[in-house]
Amino acid sequence: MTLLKGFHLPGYTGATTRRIVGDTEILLPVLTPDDIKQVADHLGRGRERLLQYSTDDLADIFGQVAEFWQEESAIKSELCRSISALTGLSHQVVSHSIDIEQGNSSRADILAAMDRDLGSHKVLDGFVYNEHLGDRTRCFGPSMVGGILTANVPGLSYLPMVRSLMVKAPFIAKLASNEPLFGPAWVQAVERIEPDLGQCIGLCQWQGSNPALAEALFSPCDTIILYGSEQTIHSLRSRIPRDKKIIEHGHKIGLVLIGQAALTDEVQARELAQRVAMDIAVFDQRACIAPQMAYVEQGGSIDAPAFCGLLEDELLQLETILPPSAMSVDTGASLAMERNCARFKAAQDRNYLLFERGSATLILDPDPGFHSVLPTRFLRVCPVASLHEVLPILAPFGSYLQNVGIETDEQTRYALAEQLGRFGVSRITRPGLMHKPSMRWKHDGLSSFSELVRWVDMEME
Amino acid sequence: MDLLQEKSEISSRIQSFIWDASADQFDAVARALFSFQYKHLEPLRSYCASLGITPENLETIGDIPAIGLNVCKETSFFAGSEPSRVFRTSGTSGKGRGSSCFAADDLEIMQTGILCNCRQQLFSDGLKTRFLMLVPSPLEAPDMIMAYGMKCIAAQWGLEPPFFAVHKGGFLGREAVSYIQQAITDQVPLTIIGGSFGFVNFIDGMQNKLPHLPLPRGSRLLDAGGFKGRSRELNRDDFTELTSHYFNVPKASCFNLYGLTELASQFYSKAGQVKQPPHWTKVRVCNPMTMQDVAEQEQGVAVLYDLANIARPFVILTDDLAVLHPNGFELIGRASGSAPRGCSLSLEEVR
Repeated sequence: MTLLKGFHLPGYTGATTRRIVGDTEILLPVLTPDDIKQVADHLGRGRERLLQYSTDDLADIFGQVAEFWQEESAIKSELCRSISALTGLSHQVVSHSIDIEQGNSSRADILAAMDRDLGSHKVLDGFVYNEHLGDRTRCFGPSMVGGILTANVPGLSYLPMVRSLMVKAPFIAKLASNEPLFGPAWVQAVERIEPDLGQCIGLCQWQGSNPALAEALFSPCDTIILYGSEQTIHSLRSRIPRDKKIIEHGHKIGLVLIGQAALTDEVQARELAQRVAMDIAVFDQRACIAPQMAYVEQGGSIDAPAFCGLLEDELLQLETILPPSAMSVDTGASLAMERNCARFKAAQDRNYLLFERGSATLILDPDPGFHSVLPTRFLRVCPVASLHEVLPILAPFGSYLQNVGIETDEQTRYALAEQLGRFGVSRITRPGLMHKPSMRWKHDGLSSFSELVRWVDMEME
Repeated sequence: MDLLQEKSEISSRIQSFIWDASADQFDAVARALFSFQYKHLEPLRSYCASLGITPENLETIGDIPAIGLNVCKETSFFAGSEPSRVFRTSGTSGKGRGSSCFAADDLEIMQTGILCNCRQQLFSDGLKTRFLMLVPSPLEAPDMIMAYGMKCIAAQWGLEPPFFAVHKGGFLGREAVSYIQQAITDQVPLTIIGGSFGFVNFIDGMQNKLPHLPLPRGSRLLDAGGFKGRSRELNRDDFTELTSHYFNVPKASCFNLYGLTELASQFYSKAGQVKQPPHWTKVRVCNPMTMQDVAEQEQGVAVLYDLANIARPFVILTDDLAVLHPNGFELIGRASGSAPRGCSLSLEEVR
């Protein structure tokens, strides 16, 4: 039996409880609002220590941690096994998710993301000359950043920690109840390199909604980052005092647009199908960046049904490398109903097709309406005469769109990107890269570091 | 032979089978009904054709394709002359409201099934009672299949016309209590029938003023339909504890009914016991991905066969999770219709 901590609370000596999942025992805290206050006070004292580090030093430490997680180790393997037992995701999917997330979190990635947002990362270390200002400027992070990290994909809890610590703000958050393990394990990896930094992070965990604990967590923070569904965010927002800044990352949806130029022969189409399949299988389609729909322009040598066939093959191929999640009876029953309906519909309409082999479910639907799917390696594919036709269909969903993978000629791509950006899409990429957003990407259209800081300018002349 | 003549033949065969289990074999009747439906339900025939299944090549009745409940919400099936009655689903599945058409002959078969089933379950003692309905009357809710079925039961075992406590969308709480108190004063047994949520809301609303309403001996309770977000949610044991205690009705007289608007027959259970399919129905509990039967005590999805469902598909894939026991099945609850997700959006949640 492996014992893993599902929290990281410096100075906490209160009660703990144990939850057993598979062959992992997870140690969880039994918190009171007062416990959270005491931890927050402890973290607050750590802020002075944090201010002693330069951003280069911090990026260097987090870069080393990212390298640690990309290497095979007993710690990583044990952690992936436990996260797999907790989330139902296969061990390989968990491990691959961590590799991808940490793979874009090198020292250079972190600093480049800051430079992009802030002009220079050094503005957090001292006054820096800014040519547009014509004088010196610098900025400060909040006195503390809070976070609610519900309903995330495995391993992602490190990202708000990096952002917060890079702007030299202690970070306190509630971990996702279905995956409270990676966050504490990441902090332990940081502590092995720089023990003091562990004193600036508090990771709490409690089950379900607990307004008193949430309020205790929000109280010491200037800025709060919320992850979760629209309902979760709405309900949390109502508990946060108005003087606090809120940064929201709600649930989003991704899609793929394929132009006829990308379907001129089978070799090309199969290679594209491979890439789309990868975007679906990584994170087992649970991430906002995963596509749930694909629009395929008609007129190429490979038509939409043939492309679905190729995609089905590729999804099946991937089952050996990235095995699908263990399916609960509940999810299975829901999927069985979806497939039953689609099978029935396909029998009534020869333009409607269902591909259902192994874990893959593909529906070729002549109705181009924008609908989400049951995220179980399930894609709705709609043939359209022109990709431009899709724009008015997507327009009403602008605020929920995030990643769009476009494979077409350059001119069409720019024209589509212009409109999609206007609707609310925050990342345009190629299929196959949807699952690998860089840290430099303005996540959900936000400048993640700028959102956290407050500026002070010198205007001496 | 034309549709109506064929329907009349299969109907009378099924009618006889419902009355007398020894009159026929379930599998033989199921095959005959499948042949009838294959011929007269065009969308079902197209579906079977796409799977390469015909009445002739059917190896076992397990091969009859089950029609998903959600299909019934989008497709209207009906084999018969003009339907005389259309029942509608409550729309709690989030997939819109489906409709279920019945002609006069279908209603007759359904009624036979309801009465035979009730005789074996709710009124196995043959006692007649007064009836309090926590549902509207069929006149007020003509499209509610439960209101129709309950009226059939009350007509057979009622000492007087039932009292319907839901009227014009409102609940007649004071009148319902008076009706109960009158039964207590008269020491006449009472049957209370309603949605599960209706019982909870009734007791929650009354408990402060009337901590108990002990019903006369021979009284019984029948609830159906779950809570569907319309009252606080209780598990089955807590629900029975609450209702049995409040009305002082033995648990053995607390019944739960599982029924679907898409079918003509229902499944009863007594408190703490499994649901027993009447002999003209069959319940399979299947692995949802393979549709193979799971072992006893294992969870799966319920596939229901109802020979009384002549004009509409009689093999239905539900999204209800169930466990098979040696003498019946146990319902676990409805599948969530979702899969674990991280930050990926379901548009259903924002629409």
